[in-house]
Amino acid sequence: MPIDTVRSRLLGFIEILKVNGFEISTTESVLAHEITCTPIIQSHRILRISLRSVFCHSKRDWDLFPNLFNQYWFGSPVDDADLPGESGINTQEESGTAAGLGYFSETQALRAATTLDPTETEISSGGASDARVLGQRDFRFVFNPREMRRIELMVDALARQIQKRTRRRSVASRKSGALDARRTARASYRHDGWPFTLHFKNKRKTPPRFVLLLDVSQSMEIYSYLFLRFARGLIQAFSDIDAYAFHTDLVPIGNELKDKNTRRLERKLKNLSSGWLGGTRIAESLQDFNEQHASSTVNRNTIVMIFSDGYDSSEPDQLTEQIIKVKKFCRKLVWVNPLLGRSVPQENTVLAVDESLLAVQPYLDLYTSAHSLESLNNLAPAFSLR
Amino acid sequence: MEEINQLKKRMADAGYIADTELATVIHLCQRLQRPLLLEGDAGVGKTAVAQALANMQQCELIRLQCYEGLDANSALYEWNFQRQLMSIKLRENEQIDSRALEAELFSKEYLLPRPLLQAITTSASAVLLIDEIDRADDEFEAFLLELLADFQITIPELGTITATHKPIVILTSNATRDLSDALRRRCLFHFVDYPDRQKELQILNSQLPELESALANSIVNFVQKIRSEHLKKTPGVAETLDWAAALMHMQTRDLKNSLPQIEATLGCLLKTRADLELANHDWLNKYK
Repeated sequence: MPIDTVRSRLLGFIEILKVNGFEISTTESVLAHEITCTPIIQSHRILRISLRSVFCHSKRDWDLFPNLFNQYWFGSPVDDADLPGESGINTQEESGTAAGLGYFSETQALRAATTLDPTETEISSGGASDARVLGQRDFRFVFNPREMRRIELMVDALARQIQKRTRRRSVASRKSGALDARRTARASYRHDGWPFTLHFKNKRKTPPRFVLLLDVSQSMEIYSYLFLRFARGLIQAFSDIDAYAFHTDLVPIGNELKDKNTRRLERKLKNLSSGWLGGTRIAESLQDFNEQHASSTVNRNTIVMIFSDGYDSSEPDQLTEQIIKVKKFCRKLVWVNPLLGRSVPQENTVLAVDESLLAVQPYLDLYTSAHSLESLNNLAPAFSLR
Repeated sequence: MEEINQLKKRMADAGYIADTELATVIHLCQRLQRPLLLEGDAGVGKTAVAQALANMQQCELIRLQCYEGLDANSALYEWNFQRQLMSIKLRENEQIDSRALEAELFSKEYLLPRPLLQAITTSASAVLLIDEIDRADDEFEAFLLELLADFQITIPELGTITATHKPIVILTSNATRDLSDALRRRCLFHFVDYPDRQKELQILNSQLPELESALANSIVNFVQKIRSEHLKKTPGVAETLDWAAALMHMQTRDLKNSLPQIEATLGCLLKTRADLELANHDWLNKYK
């Protein structure tokens, strides 16, 4: 391929990468152009290797890049034999049995987003305003695969941002405080009063631990896979976090979500997913949690977060009783209800939520919505112990 | 392409088996004078890249091991506080101009250069290895940005020191946390994955030339297979080399009839209790 063609098509390729979640600034674009000017770019393979080192910033980018490169420049999937030792992406997606689990797979969304549709150029390059509109949209109104892909990537990024915010607070609090005059003076005795060794006051703050309880019943179908994805992001970002899925039963999924291998995670969740997207028994599930897991996973430094719409086939009193028990174990109890964000509430929805949740609300530290990216982003206070 | 092949050969002579991809990125780093960020699991040979580069260029390897709480002082320079105090005390009774004394106390004589300052002030070009940058704090990352952009350091008492020879900078990360976008942007990125069978065999032959080829083959086959298991700590190249050395020491000729030796040396390969508990007789027989 002539080098002039490469340079002229580079911007289009950068656009494709951005749509697929690559964070590319002018610095990388200029560097990529600089690289195409070096004499070593004599084959498409060297071009691919060079651009990969410039545009990729993580393992995820690294794995996606070869396929995107070959799709854009040659219109064909990656040839694994071309790059020895390279982990190619399998384009044959395994069929999922439980709806929603397939969204952990990168492949379906990748196929939808490897080519730029001329009619959608405006959407993909809409910049900040486009991102804002998408951020405000209720998850149940996202039908376009490309938009869903963007939301998935934004949910992943959001989990990392939350970890950074929480960590920043914890790091700031770990820093040495003022000079400890008493200890410094005491240490100076052995040096004839000269302060050779300085001592500082240490502030100690234990970071919070989190327990996530995710409703995966039929009524939460629209939201549950995004919440699962969000939970996976949080689990991989925080060290001290555990997760459980519930419908009519409670299933621990913390270890499964820790797996960074998407395909393996997909397989594991499929094995656990019998009964998902069925009915809900929140009170019984919470009872299981309180009796079997709470004593080992929850302490006074724990924030428990329940992601559920509150539809429950059990008695409201039973739910209240279990919520009080959870509240006794933990520091903070947060209920995230995606139905709260609906601008025009449906009558039966309001009634259902009222009936099952009004009684428990006094025991919650925070009762909030997470029906869109913006509302998910507003969850930040929930991750603080205060 | 000739340049890349030559670089691969020189790296091999320096003791590192590099593939075309890594050799190309190293070549670009040298040409564009950009730092190289190597990411990958522990034990896949990230640090060894810097060591091999230093061997290849026959220059000094300056290593900064990052850890939580590492600050600019420990990485850049420190004033020899104790020596300064001692000097003041010894001259208590001398009639010395206080300004002259102050200038002397903050001269290069009392400066303790740490790795970053060493890399900048070295008389010949060096390889600067900033190891496990993901363990350092965000503040230290921000500080590095300034250094990597200009290769100069300002010491308030001495002025600005600019690098006479720009070092080759290699940063490594185990991805235990996300690095800032600003730092990533300044670097070329390369993900060091576990080697495939052929490459691992090459590494084994190059690092342990006395190892019999049949045993080397079975060791590599075994390790490649167990990497597909969901282990808590997947064995890297370093573990394979340790295990091969241990088996050689136990005078093992092949893995098929050496279950006791395998069990005795498995600690070189599997590093957690959970992984060792997984490795029962059936499990080992399945893979050997």
